[in-house]
Amino acid sequence: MTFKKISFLLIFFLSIIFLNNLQIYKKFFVLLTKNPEKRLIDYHGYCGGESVGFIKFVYKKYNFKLIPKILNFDKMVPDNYWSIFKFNRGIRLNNFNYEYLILLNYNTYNKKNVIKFGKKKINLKDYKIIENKQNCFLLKLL
Amino acid sequence: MIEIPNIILTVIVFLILSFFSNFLFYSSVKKQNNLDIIDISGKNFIIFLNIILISSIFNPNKEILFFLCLFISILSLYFFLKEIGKFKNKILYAFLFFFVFVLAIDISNNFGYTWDTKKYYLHKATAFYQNFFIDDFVKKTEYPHFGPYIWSFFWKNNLLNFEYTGRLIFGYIYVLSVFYFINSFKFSDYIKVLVSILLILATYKTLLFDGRPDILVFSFFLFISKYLFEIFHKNQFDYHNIILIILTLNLILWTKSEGIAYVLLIASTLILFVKNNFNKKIFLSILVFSIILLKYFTYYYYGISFNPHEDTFNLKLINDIDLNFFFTRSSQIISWYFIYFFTNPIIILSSLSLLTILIRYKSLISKFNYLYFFLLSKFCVLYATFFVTVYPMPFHVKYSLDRIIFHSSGLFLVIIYYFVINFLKDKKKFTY
Repeated sequence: MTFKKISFLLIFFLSIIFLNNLQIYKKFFVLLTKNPEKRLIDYHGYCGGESVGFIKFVYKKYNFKLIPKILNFDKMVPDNYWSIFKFNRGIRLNNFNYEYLILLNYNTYNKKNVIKFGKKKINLKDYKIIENKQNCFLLKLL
Repeated sequence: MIEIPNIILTVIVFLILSFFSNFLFYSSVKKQNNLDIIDISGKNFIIFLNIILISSIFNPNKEILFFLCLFISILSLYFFLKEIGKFKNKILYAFLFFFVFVLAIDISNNFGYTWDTKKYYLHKATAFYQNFFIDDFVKKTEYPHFGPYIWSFFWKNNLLNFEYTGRLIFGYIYVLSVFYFINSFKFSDYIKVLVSILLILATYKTLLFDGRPDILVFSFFLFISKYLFEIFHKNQFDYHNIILIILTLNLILWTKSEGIAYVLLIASTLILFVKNNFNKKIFLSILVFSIILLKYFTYYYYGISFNPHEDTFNLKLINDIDLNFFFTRSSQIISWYFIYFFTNPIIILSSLSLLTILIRYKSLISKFNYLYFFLLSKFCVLYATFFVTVYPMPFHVKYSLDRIIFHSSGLFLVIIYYFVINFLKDKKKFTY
């Protein structure tokens, strides 16, 4: 076998190994069948962890002019607002629209109605539930 | 369904943009036949990225800038094909396209953003996408903006405007840097493709392309590796290589906070280890000083702190330094440094190659003096940085040191090249 043929075979096999490692065939099929938003929600979950699906659902339905406060009771989440894909200085300065409140991973057995975060206190009795999926809630000020 | 054709179109756009500044080299290449298309693409893309970087300081309309660059690139490509026509390394170029396409498929499916991406980089990219700029940020304003900016630039100028379409440029820069660097070596085309695939297999991780700029720094260091190879091993310390190094260092300076340290380290390495050429060293020093000044004045204008990392560097720590602190910090830094150093695949292979060179090819040892200096001085800078950090330790060193070692690991690939060449010469195969 010539040097060229050996090199070509090695390139071919290494490429196959690389494609297999990345599961490219599966990813190619997923690109054909799912849109990016569905892929994002499938990866991060609808309600649980960052609850990307629920956040996107309420944003689409209510089209908030001001960003509502998101309270995620899963403390391992670094940031609750990245999935909105909308830059807002208010998020960094803690200026939120408290007319609406999004609770994620909220345990309904938790009887505490007053939630503290930083210097702010919120009484859940002042709100009514307008959307609820599993442990995710959208509340509106009464 | 439409995403696959869009990915192919995006990759073609990247390849066209790699001819952006070809008109600058037109007169010098006009008389040549069989131009190296990989070499041309690499050089032009570095110039293109610098144009985007300098333009970004003025926050221009991204769509107008993109179409202007694309128009110039198409014209450059047209005249290139009309007048020159023939070029070499077509096989390498075909594999470049193939691997960029494959990585693009992978990146399009990757929504596993890491902590830093969710907290900082994605917000910045979104802000740039919505035409905000660095003076609109509140947190981590001192972080250089080029990574998220280039992400938003290609996000905004894509037909589908999905977030991941902006990250495809990271994949292109990575693959281009690998092929551009491997192209420096005297191998046949098939061996170059083989070595490039091996390098991609050793270094590629899907998670690196979530929007963090670490993979960009690694790629830029591969560009630098090529220029250092030409300077130290082909004795080509000319204005052409100096300018290309400065342009690449400029990109690194604006990509990560530690970029300023890398700029000073590479500049010091060149000034100390290039023999003679005093005028060119002065020229290099002036350019290095200029790019640092440019960053300083830009930050000053936008009211951003020049402290590379506000949470790290704080003079309050000086009061806590005693003997116990010294020994604890030193042991944490040194132990984690060695753990991450010897778990990096490129470093492992380079170390084994260097060991073999030390045993069998002792005359080659002095060829890498500049690398020993870079390695030692980088360690000193890392030690100093982690020694004074006010971040909790060993948390800070544990979760950032592996990336910092990864950044410049490409510089040591030249050791593996020399080992392989000399080993094969011994076996009297693949003589070129």
